[in-house]
Amino acid sequence: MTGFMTSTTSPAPSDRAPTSTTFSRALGIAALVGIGWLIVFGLFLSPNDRVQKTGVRILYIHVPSAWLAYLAFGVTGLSSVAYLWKRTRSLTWDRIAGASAEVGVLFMGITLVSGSLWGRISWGTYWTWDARLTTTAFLFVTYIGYLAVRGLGGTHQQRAKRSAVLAILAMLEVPLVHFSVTWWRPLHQNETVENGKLSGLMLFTLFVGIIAFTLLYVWLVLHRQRVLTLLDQVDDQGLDVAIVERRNEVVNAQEVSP
Amino acid sequence: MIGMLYAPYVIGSYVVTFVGIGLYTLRILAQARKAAGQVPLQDRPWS
Amino acid sequence: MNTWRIARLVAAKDLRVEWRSRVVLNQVLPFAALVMVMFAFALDNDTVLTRVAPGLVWLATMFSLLVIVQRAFAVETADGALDALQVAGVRLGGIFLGKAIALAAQLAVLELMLLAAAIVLYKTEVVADGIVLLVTTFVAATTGLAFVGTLYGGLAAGAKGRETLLPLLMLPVVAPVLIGATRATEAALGTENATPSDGWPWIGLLALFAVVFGVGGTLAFGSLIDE
Repeated sequence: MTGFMTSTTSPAPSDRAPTSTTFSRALGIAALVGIGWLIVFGLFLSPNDRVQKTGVRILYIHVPSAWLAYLAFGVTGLSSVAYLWKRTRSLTWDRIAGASAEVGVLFMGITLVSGSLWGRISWGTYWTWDARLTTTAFLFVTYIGYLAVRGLGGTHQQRAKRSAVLAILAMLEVPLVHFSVTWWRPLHQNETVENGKLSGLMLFTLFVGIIAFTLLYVWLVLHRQRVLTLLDQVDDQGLDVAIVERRNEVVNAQEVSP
Repeated sequence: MIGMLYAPYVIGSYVVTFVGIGLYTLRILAQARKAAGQVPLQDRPWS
Repeated sequence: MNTWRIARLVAAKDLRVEWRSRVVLNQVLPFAALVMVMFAFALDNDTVLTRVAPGLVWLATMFSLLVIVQRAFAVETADGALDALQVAGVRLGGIFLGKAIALAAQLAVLELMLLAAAIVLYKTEVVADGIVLLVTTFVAATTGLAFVGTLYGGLAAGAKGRETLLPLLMLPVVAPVLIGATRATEAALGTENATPSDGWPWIGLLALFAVVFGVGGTLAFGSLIDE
């Protein structure tokens, strides 16, 4: 018997941060600093808006998280294409797609909640059926469905192919939803209270928010994708162990019978 | 800050945001620790 | 074997199964009629009912679609029929089209019944001006729904824990059809002073939807049912 199949892998020394690397640690610190600045400027140092008063502070969360949510879903779509294209096929793309979709759902949830609270202040209502909100809600539910399909089981390749195709269908479906909802409720019907011009410090805070959240997004996807890699490896090991045990069964049976 | 207009909404959105992100982060890190116990160091492509 | 021939055979097979078992006829149609009655219980206002009748018809169609699609694929997975076809090397695009055709036929019967129910229960009136638009709406919407239903039904079929996925996956996707078909139907019936000319742009959307999912479905069907 070769050592490959019969050797048992020894468990790793207990590892407090197994998915960390120097780069990801630096990234994480940068993200934390960015978030710190966002909170300080967003809640304290930036001025109130003339019309929205303190309501504008929610936008420093809402706008960056919306941007990240769309970025995340874009990454999922592109990674899915990368997986399906034979020349770049690799399960890493599948895991990036999955990790990005999860983080995207998280940020989309934040977008919807913060937007809803902002709407309560600015329009007096938690929800309104305007095109943007409705499309966002649909995007949210679509990606929850995508994540549910990822959990269906099967081999890693089956999961990857199925999810990739679903992600591409989602990319086709979202513009359709967007068009139909925009024709249904044209944008001008909605009272857009977003003033075009933000003052210098407010614009600065918004940028801090976008940068902080982008750093956070990359950090989260990096770690989540590594966790998915580990989980797939554990899965594979389970299979290897099962194969070894089965082989040993056969060998033992042969040894017993004359 | 407590006297801020609309304080519950503003603070509320910041709290929901960062608690949500924090919980998700903790979850990933916990999963990482759990899975890594079964995978040797050399098998990890990033270290 | 040529894709169209496969499609015809599969469609004929599905319709024959339905004709012999009459599940859609005996169970789904009554369910749909019941849904129309329950809307009346919930909304309890004749004016409102007449006003929202088009939407209710399409809503009832969507819910019944879920049931019919589940049924269409339960037939396949019960004895591993779909797997057997795949192993035999039958082209999956043909199976997709065949099942979609059969599904469209059953949907057509369902929608006719629902329209009749709306005329009786909600005092809907069909006007001569809007008949062309009305028929076109039903054809365009049904085609799109049949494609989407077959595609996602294939995905949700099979292993345990999948059937509950179908509504979650499909309802967001068919939202454009719900919006478009309802608006076009309202225009065809003259609800709220809409005229048929208001409805034709929505037909464009329904047609685009049908094309996207017809082509996309034929290509993607194989990847999604891969067990």
